[in-house]
Amino acid sequence: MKMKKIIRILPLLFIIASCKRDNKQFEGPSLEDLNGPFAMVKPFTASKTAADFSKGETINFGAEFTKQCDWTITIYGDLSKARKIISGKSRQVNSGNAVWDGTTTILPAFRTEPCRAVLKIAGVADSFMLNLGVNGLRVPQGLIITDFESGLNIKWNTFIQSGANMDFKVKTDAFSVQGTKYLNMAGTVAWDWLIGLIDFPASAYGSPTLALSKVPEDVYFNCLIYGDATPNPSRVLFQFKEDDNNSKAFEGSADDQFDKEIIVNWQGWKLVSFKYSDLIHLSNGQPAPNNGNNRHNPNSIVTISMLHLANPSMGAASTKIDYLIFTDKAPLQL
Amino acid sequence: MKKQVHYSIKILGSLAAAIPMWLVAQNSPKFSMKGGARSVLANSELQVKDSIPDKVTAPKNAGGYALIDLGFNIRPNKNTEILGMIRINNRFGGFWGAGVTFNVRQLWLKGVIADKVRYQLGDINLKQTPFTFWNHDEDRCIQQPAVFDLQRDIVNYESFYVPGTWRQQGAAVDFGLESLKLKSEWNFRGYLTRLNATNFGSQPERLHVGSTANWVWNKKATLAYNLSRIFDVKETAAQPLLFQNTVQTLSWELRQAIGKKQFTLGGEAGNSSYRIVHDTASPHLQDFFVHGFVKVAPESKRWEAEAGYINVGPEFRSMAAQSKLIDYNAQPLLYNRYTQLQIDRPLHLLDFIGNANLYRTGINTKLMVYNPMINNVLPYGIATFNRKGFYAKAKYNIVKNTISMEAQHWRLSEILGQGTPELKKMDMTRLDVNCDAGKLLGMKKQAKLHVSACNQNTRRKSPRAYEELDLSSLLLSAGFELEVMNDIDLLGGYTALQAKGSDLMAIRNDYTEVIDFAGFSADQKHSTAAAGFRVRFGGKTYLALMYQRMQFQNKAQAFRDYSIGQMQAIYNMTF
Repeated sequence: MKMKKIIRILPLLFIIASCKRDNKQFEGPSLEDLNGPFAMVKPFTASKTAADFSKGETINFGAEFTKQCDWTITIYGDLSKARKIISGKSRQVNSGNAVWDGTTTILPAFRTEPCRAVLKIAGVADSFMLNLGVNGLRVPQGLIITDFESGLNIKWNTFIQSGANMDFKVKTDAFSVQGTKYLNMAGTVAWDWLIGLIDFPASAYGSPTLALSKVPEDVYFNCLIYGDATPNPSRVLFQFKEDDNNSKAFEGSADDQFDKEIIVNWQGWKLVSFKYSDLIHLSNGQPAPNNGNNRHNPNSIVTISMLHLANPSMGAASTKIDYLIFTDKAPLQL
Repeated sequence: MKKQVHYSIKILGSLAAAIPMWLVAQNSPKFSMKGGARSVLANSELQVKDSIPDKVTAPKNAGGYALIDLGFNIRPNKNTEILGMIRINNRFGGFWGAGVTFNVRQLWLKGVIADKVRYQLGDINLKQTPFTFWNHDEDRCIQQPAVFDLQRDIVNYESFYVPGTWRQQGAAVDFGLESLKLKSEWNFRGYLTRLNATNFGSQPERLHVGSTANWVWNKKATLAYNLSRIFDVKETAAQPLLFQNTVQTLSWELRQAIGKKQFTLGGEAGNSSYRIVHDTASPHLQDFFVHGFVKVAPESKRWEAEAGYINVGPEFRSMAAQSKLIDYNAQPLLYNRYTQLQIDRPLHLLDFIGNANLYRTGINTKLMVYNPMINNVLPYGIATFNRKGFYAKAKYNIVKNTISMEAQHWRLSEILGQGTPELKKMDMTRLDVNCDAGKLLGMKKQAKLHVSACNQNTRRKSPRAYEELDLSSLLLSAGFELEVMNDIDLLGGYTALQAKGSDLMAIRNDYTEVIDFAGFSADQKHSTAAAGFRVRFGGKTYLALMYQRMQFQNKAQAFRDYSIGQMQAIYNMTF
């Protein structure tokens, strides 16, 4: 009889013990978000009307909708024509998903200037606008190789071919992307791929090697490059030359050199960033074995060479470059 | 005084699914042959109601095949039996044997170790419990008259379908212990099957292991622990992701006679775990289910009534019990594209009944899509997740068992809303009536009548119009089977599906999570009328000649309406 009772009670115990689940409201995306009517619950606001980004200030945006929306805030620089785009999919726009720290999405970079922030919501015809101002520019953290604001440094080594229409100069004009100056690199060299080069020795920065992390995965190199829609696309080749044997100089037969060739096949300014640990050694544009310790040692870089190359049989080539900078653990946010 | 308990090991007769045929008598021949032969010849004609003339699709289609399955049954000793079956298939019209194929259809070995433990290796039909490992066949909501069963039987044979079971490849074993003193039995069944072979790249070796240990007391109480686990074997692929789906359940059944009625209190409860190990995006889905029922029947078994409750959690995943027999993404072989634009032909109810090409035999570890017009209430059988509610079933035999009726009604709702806290409510009512009119009227010849229907409704009410849903469908069939001359039957039948309304179908990612919804609306009618003759040659051999006309109507897109007339001759023999 006792056994019978146990057997009869067991299922009940099971049922009672089982009656607990996660307290979810529903499965999947909200139908209200997918199909509900749209309205603004809270208006589009900014935490301040102007910010000095050089002091680390930020502007937080706010808004709230009746449903989850795909929204985009675009900040336009009135003078620079710079654009910063912040987008998201949520019911609320707040300091968790809409903060402007002075960075730029579409170059040129912002200047000290008046701006407009425009909120657009997918599927909604209306847009919402705020007037803002930039009182101070953001200062990116990192080792700046050059922003060309002081022209060409006499401690750098330069070589410019004597081709036709050579224009290898620091300029200040409407093309300026960061600050007021940039380096123009243009000309026609019919006998060689090289149009011109600049060596940036570590000694120009006050030390035998560049003051960088020894962890290659943490080191990013960044620069701004302008592409011209010419039939002969420029190639910008960066050579990072290390001193692996502590000879205080780069020796091709005993040290590593890591290279990055960028084919400038776009129109306008573009931020180019790459991780140092991703680099390989190139010889005539092809991967080749290195001669040093075969390890990426960013803290052993003694020289960076920047070469402007172009196909000699295809005529004139032209590009612009600015803001060469190493950043730590992440690509540059300009 | 110390009690002595005596145990004996016995051979179970209960693993019917795993080892369907027990070893034959010892005086059976050492070698015999078994198998079947079939020939189907069909002539079809398609008609489309489209204002643009279809100059691409050939409206008439003739074809057929003849096949023979030859099984070699070998009994090398009294404890071992081996079957190897090959198939020779010849498509009509193959030139000089070009249409002939040879396949191995099945291969298994079974036997008994030391007269105590049964085993089977190779192709095995397996099942466990409805929540662990089961083929629910949930899309056949109604019975079909004999004229359609001729085609359904071919589909069943081709897909190795035996009710409740899945055809698997692997090994199964079972044995039992019996104590007369304690009036108890302890039975154990186990199996291991291979779902996928590794490709040494992205796909690891995927296995399915399961076991049931049950205790039967005095033939009045049964308590069983069931385990079903699908898993990838580590380090058998060049990637670290490992699929795991484990289901553990307890099932029970208590039988008690009260007066002249037999009462049964039964059920099953358990939980599941579903995840992909080492995949950071994979959720770990865990949930439980409860199913309980009470059944009552008189000694005469003239009627039976059952009432039950189910509660299956929204994240309950048991892929071996939630795989579907019909693949709704598959294409029909006949007229798979039509109209001048060569669009996919929408599947017709008769495709689901008689097209073996749509049927699958394996366990699918991703949730298969379902057709809400066919079964929106329990698309994965009773193991359908996110369902709770009650059901009632009744069987009744009257007039000396010449009329049998079966009815059931399900009243369910979701446990967790989809995209909204509002819950869908569903109901399903099924009715099957079979009448042996020949016996009823005292005729010497056979005369059988049949009617089946299944009505389903899914609704969601909400103060917000965009959350409201209402989908209804009705499946029905009726038919007769009259023996007009000795061994010659006249068969006739009609079957139809009507569906109207709208629903939102969940779109799920690879982890079976809902990520979006797709609108589904229907205003369709599928119908088929069929008639023909069947000549029986005794045993399981017959020749049937019949004509059927399928009609598909979609009121929302009338230009897709079509009808297919088909004359079929089927010769079937099993030996």
